[in-house]
Amino acid sequence: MSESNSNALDRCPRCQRPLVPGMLGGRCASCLVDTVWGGDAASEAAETSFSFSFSEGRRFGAYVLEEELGRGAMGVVFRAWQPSLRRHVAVKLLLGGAFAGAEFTARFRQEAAVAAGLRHPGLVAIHEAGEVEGQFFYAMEWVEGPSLAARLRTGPMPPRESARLLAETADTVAFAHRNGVVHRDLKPSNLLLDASGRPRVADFGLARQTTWDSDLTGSTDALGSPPYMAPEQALARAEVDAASDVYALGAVLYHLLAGRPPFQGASAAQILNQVANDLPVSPRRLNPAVPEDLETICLKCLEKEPGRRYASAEALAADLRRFLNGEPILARPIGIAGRVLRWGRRQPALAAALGALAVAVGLGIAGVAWQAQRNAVIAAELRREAYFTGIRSASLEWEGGELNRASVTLDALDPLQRGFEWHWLRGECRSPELASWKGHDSIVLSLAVSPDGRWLVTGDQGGASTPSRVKLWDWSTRTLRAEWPVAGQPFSLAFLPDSRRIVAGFGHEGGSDGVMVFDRESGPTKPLQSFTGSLVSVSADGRRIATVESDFYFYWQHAGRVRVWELESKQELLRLDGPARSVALSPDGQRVAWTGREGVLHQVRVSDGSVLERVSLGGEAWSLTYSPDGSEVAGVLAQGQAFRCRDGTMERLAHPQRPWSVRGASGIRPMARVWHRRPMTTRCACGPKMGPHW
Amino acid sequence: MSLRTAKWDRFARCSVVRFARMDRVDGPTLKPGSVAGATFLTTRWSQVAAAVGDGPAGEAALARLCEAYWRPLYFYVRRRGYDPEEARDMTQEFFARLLAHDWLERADPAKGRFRTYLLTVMQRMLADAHRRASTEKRGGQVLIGSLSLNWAEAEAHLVAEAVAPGETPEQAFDRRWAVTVLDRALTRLRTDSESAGRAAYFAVLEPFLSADPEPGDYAAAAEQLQASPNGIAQSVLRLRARFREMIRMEIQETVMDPAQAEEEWLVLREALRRR
Repeated sequence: MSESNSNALDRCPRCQRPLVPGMLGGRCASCLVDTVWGGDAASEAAETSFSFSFSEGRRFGAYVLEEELGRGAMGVVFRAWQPSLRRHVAVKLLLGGAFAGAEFTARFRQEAAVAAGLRHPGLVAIHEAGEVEGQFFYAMEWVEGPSLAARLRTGPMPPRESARLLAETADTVAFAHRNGVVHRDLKPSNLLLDASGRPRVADFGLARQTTWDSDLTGSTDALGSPPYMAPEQALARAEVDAASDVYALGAVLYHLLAGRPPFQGASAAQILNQVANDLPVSPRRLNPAVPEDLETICLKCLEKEPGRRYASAEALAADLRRFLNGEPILARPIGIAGRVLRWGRRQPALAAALGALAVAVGLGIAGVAWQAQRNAVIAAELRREAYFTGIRSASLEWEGGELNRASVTLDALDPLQRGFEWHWLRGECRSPELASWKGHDSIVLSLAVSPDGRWLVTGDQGGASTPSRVKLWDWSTRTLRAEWPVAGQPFSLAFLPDSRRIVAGFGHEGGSDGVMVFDRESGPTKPLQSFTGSLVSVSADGRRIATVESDFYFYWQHAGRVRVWELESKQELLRLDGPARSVALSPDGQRVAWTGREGVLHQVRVSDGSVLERVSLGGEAWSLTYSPDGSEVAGVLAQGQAFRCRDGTMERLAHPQRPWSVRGASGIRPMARVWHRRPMTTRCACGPKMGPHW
Repeated sequence: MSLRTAKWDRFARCSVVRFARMDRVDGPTLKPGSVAGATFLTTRWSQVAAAVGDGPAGEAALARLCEAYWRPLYFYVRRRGYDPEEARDMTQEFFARLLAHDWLERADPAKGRFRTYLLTVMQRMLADAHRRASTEKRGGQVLIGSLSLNWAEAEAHLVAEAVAPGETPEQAFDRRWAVTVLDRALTRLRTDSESAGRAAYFAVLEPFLSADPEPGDYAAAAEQLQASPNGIAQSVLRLRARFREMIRMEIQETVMDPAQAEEEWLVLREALRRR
């Protein structure tokens, strides 16, 4: 018996407990358990320590927190990874929320829902808002690029560039205002510059949660951003509305031009005092390169009295564009008289005395009449500008595939102004859909229409706290016939030719993915057959299926083997190593197409496994489908770009909906079904827009 | 051949492949476990207790469980103050009696959990001085050669492990048991990964099971596996979740009622935390 123990009393370097030799590969059992159960420990600690529980690398709902980007009085922002959709998002955890009462909760939910409904190319989209582990959060689109605040650290921006940035920002703000949402906290750090240099507005409609909820006696942080805050907001004199956002836009423009905010002070109180009482220093005195017109536009936004500012963000955008186009602007410089009047309003006693003097000088009534007439002209001009800005927004939305949003924008425009462009755009927005209805609370991952055209089955991704669901619809009446919560994410759905049995492929975080066949009456809880895999494609006669297994570790990646089976006998006909990300079986079941990580489309003959075709797609494909006659393969690249392949050549397809996935249907009529990422208000849109290709 | 020797003989034959006389009997009927695609064989204590008396298959299953969990018993006996040779004989005697159904057939509330069952029976046995005295006469040592129990290794571990001040023999038993559960779960996890064709992944990710990464660790692993660092982070979380699952499965096999598993795990966690 060997008694030589050079390892005697070895201790764990981490916890100093003695190690158990010979087992667990020399690991410390206690540390192993602590680490493996770390999630439990973290959630226990969440109640007491915010910073401890939400550290990098931690799983939070549907996200994995990757890097802390910023931390303020009200919360922490992380860059996070959303595995199921393979995308980065920004997750903002609201510190205030964890300790808030029911009133906060209700308001947060309501405002978050509204904010998440806003979709505009200039907005940082809100993907999801809610509560996980008692923690309020929202997940935003990830914008790679600096904030305007970061950009401004290097000094003022060129005036024309400033005007362009602000005009685009004002368009976005105008869009939100038309939808009844006020930002309340526009400031350079909320404006992100995306890769194309376009300003993107973050935190729309949510600023109240992030800044305004704390009391007013706190630090600058707790207050939000006094330097950009309108007087009525800073002094809580009046309801904060669109005019306050116009002021903030002006303050941002001021900062862009002058290299500093309109008011600066040692404390928040000092700044607030200036905001209420002082006129900002002329930007031209700080930066002589600023054109006079641009200064005029800027100062008009910064008027203390809301009624004296631009009537809307649209009007501001329009005036900025006039400046950019070298046209005369509508805003008038304040001038000496204006400055005296404004000063008088703030100093009434002194002004009264001076007013008497002014009368003595003899300002005539004629002057007043001229002003009234001019006001009418300006009002008409503003109405037209508002209309054309709306048209511009709608056409941007239409180009971005936001057809429903564009319709809403168009319908809100002044009927008296509508011309050809309105009717043309309205028509374009209406045309492509066969059907569209709201059916899921989270992203729709898959759908299928039964060959007899009577049924639609859809499956969604589920949310951070809700399971995925598969729903069965009556196609003609659009009524929900059945709804099944499912354990895995329904990556694939297909009907068999009897229109009765449904084939579904599930990916599951717990590792048990699978393809199952179930009856539409009895649902997925009673599978008729099951196969391995998480993606599935069915031949037109329903005799064969092709499956792709998900990656053992990366379950959301379909990176496993491709297998083709006889459905009834479960006999395996073909097995390919892949790893495949998408798969399609030809309608006759004789060929299988798959793509892998390297973005090459392979077509393989099922009978002998011979490769018929290899086509480089220039990107990963997320979905594939054969045309009904089997002569073409169509799909969608990860970037949302639809394509089709025929005889070894690939062609990209223009599609206004930025499709998420395509499926061909042979049963009803040649068409493709397309759906679009639209978090919170996911719709299944079925359209013939791609139909003409087949 | 005495009756007892015959029992041992059967135990040995049925235990595992490494016995030379394996060819003389039909192998026990074993069912693959619930680990997807894995070759790991599972034996449930509930089934064992129910199947005793049903012939060789039930005994083989019992033997496999005993073989997995004999070390905690040996540790217990040693911590009770017996010298290595005595402890070895007691453990052997214990298994012999278990196989002879001396205790299994009795209705016993302690049978609910394999762990408490073993401990209770051993405590009773140690209390019975007569049996202890008679063991050596029966020449139990003859059997040592046919067992796959590595006494020397167990003794070496025991010596290497410092005795925690104030730790009772029962606590030592529980702690050793907990480590055994973890060790077996880790083996399951490895087998599981290998059968899924992911041995390389497992090799790279395994170190993160028991330690949080240092800066750059995930990036290095990502390079090795040609994945992204966030993919690695995700995989580690997934591997940990799978490990928890394996631990649960392992514990499930040592209890009669699935509801006891959670409680059993709390006991074992506490045993690990104690030192």
